[in-house]
Amino acid sequence: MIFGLSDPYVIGAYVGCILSVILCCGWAIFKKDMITEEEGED
Amino acid sequence: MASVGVPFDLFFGMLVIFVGVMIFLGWYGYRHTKDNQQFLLGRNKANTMLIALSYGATFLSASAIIGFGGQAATHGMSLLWLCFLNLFLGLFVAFVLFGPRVRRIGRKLGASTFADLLGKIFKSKGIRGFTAAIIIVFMPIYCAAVLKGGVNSLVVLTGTTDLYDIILIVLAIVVGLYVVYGGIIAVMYNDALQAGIMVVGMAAILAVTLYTLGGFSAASEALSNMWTDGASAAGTLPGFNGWTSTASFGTPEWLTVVSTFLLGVGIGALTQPQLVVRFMSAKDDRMLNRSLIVGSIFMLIIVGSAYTVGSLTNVYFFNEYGQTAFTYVTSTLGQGVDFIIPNYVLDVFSGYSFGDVFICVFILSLLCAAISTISALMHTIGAAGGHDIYSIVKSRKKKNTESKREEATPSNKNLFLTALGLLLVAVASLGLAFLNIGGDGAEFASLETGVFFAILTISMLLVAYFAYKEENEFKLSISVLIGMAVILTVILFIVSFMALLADTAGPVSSGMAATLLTVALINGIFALCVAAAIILKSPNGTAKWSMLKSKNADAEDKTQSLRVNRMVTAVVMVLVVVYCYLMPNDIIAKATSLFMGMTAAALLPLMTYGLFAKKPRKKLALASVSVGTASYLFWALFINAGSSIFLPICKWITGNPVLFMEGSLKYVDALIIALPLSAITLVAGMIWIRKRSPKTSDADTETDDSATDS
Repeated sequence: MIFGLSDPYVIGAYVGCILSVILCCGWAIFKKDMITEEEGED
Repeated sequence: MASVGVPFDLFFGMLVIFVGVMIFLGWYGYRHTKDNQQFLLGRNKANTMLIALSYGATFLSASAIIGFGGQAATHGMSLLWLCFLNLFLGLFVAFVLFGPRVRRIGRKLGASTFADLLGKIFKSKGIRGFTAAIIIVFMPIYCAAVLKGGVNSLVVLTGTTDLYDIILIVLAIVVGLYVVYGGIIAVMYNDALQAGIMVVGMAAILAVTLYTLGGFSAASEALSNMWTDGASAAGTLPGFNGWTSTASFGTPEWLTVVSTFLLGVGIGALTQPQLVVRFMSAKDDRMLNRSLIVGSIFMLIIVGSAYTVGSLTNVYFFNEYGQTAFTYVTSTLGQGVDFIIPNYVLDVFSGYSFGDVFICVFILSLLCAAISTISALMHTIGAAGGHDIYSIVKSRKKKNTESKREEATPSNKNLFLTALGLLLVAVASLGLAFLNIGGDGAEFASLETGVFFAILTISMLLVAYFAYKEENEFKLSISVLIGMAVILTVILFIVSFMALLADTAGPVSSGMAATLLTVALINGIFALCVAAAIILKSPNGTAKWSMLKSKNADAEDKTQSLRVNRMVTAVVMVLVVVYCYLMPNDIIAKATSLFMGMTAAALLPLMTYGLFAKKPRKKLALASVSVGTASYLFWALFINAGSSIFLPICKWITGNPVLFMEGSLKYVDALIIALPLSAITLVAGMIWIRKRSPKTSDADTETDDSATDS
């Protein structure tokens, strides 16, 4: 029982949401520099 | 019993401030909208925060809070998977995988709208027109549902059911004005404002809910215990295992939740025209990446709160009234699933100090959610009709006189036409939502029905005939319009005729017949006005057919463009009205799923192929979009029980709502079938062409656009 929840799929959904936010923030912070280099290709 | 609503003076005061800020932002957008490109994209005016919040507010809207919040109350915490899909697919994949390519290719090709982008990628006006047609035909379903749902919830929360008409009119006018005059800049600034209010409102609701129920752990445990203690599972399907558990695999409940709500909206978010346009508004890729931070946090707060609170409303209503949320709202209050969240907010906040203020904040956030979506949808529909269709027609004409000349760049004339299209769509949405509340009794269903529908048919055919006779190259567009007008009229005939036969029983009620008659009357008058305007606005100023032989090419071009624009708008108006009147009440979530599922099935493989293939082939794209659209429509109208209610053709033909009444097939959403078919068609075509001519490049075998499009 985690936070009153026992179904692994429901727990997984909450965990997935948190991980997605971390992924988005991480990408925004660490990936921003490579983009401008590709701009010239267009 | 539920409270009667917040003090009107308090709400009115806050509303005045809110509307004032909205109008100011609309004016700001108007001041900065100099041409059609800025009207459609607002390029170079958008910053990181603006894109993130605008994208989020447009994406989530009233549908997520009211519609899917209500569904979470009914089906439980399984809906949290939709929150994950919204974040991962709708945000991360969209911004990282699709966003930069859409922005770069869009800028490179000079695309202004979603349909324009696809059309230019594949060098196909057919694909552009088809995409615009999908937007014009299917987006009004979503638009009407959000408008209807938003206003319904608003009057419940404010206890102003008597003022329904006024609120609806004011809302539509304000939204229409700032969209029409401000363009995308006003839409995005307002989205950002609305997103901020939504965050405050939803965070407050989550905090109060958890405080009221003793924290998340205690609340979710209580929710689990409700199921083991034998609480009613009304509103769910076989296979439901409680509000904190996922349904049994393959059961009707599982299929409905997973295929319709989770995948339909989760995947469909990638191909939302109103969202893709946001990518094209970005100045560079870095801006898109930075938007992820604000966007993801915003989305987690709004969607996570809505679905968590939605599920936990069961605990609250069970503690207070001894019933689940669904049973209490549907049986005791006599309302639908879409009213669960509004009633819960009204009830739970009334027990706290300053509760009225929080309710007002929630109402405003709800209002914001509805407005942000409606404005974006209106902008998109208007752009599809007034810009895409117009440009196609215009370029076809020019092609005859100036071969190999590129398509005309957007001009101020387009700006006016797009704005005009938007205004008419706003009026249409207002009209259909307004009329939906009226209509009762079979006395309207009389001989006049036939007269009104005849007016409609003759008017539409008249307009189409004139345009067709004048220019042969309009054949395709006009044929489509004629076909749509005739099909719609036939459908209306069947519906009202069945209502006459069945009186109050059968697939349609006499009330529906009455409203359809009203629709027919309005549409008939409108169509007649269009026809009259075309005749009277002839270049030589006479009210004769001689206008069709005008020698002045420029004037003729302008008249022709206006005519086609009006025709498209007229057809859109009819479609919007018909959709709204055929819709049942608790429809926000399903309407959202239907539109997003349709766009995903038809356009996702095509868009992915177009964005990532080195030399995308038009024929493959056409094959994919055709298979995706046809299979989705067939499955949605004849197999899936949830979507067949939108247009009950199957019931009219066979007497049953769907073809297969037994088994679980009727719970499988059309997206599950149509999207793979569309993708398989594309992949199979690529393999077949590669095997057939391995050394032939794509460009070598591609034919001229006009040849295949016609």
